[in-house]
Amino acid sequence: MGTRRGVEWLNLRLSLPGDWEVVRHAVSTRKGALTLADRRRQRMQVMWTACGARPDVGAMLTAYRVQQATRVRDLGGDLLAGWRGVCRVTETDDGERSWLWRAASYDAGSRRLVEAVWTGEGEAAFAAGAGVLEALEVLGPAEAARRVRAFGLDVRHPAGWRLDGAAVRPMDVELRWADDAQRVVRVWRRAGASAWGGDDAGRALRELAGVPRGTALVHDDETAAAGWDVPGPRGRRLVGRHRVASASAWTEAERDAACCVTVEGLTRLGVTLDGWAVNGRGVAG
Amino acid sequence: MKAVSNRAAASPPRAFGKLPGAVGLEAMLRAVPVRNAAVREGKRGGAVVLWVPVRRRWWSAWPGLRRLPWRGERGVALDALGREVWSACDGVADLEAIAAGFAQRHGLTFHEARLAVTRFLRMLAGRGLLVVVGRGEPT
Repeated sequence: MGTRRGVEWLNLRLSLPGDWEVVRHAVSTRKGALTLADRRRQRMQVMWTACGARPDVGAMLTAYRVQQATRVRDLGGDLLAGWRGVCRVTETDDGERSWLWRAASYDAGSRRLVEAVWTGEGEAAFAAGAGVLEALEVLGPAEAARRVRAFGLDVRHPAGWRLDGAAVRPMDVELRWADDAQRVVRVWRRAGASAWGGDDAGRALRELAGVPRGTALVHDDETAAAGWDVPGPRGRRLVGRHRVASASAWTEAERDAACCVTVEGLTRLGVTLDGWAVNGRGVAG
Repeated sequence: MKAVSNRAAASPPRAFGKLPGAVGLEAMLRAVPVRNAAVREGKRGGAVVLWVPVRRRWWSAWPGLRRLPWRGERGVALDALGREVWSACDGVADLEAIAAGFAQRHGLTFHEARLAVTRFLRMLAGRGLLVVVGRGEPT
């Protein structure tokens, strides 16, 4: 088996074959999916659903079999440890066969149902998907996640923050967390830093964090820990729209990328990045 | 920069753009970008500029307009990443090889690099600097 790619998303830990990657994602803790693809085609979809009570996985798969007009073979409880699954084989008039496997597992500790659907041709494709499921770990409820590892970012954060958004564009990834105190943390990774001047940490900070023009950074040195105060239009403080921000930016020369973390809040209290770490680097700010 | 808020699980956001169907994607990855032979490279300041001849419009030959200083070329300046992709378009390497090399050099995943390179090549093709030649389906 070649190199594996580690992914951690909403307390699901996956180990993917080296040429697989996440191409679609969801940030909902209640119900969502990750879509995995290799270079040529979509390979697998891993779905999660928060459940109030233990679902009858066997009945779900039976209903699926009944629903499908094509031939569906029940793989029973011995598909993989902890997984039940079915296999659908479709045969065209030309004699070409295609396989689709569907497997489900309920994690009682986190009350989450995890389902996986994958396609391919023959036993090798089954083994690739089964390998992903064998290594899949449900670490806990999605709301309790403390780490995100995907899209070139590895972010560890303290309790109380929930993943609120993810904007994934080519060479430009932004993840966002929020908490109950209306604080927002944003983490960016932008590749090709040497081409847009992002290899200068100060410029990376201004470009990525969108520091308003004319705003003086409180602190802007080579360690790249900086902060600024955005009072905005007169009266904003009265209506609670005054924002205080603190940020940190740095470059990763070996990957030709710049990273930036900002935390925003309504007051100076608690606008700190203590406890946050990005790509193995503790964040100051 | 704008963050995307929670979206329904039924329509999760696509990372790195739309993934085409298997056949379309495979054909696209096998396609080869070929430079326009009429393009000349120049330098302006620190940037590389590609000059492509401009076709004169029919109305530019009207009497009275003939004497105007019509430009004969149009320039496209490339940044460092653009130069890198342009130099990789040697008429032999297919899109998959170009994207894989770009991904390796910049620590990107394959589809992230594929989309970035494809968008850039589409822009170059739209400006007449290159064409993308399909190799057809494998036999």
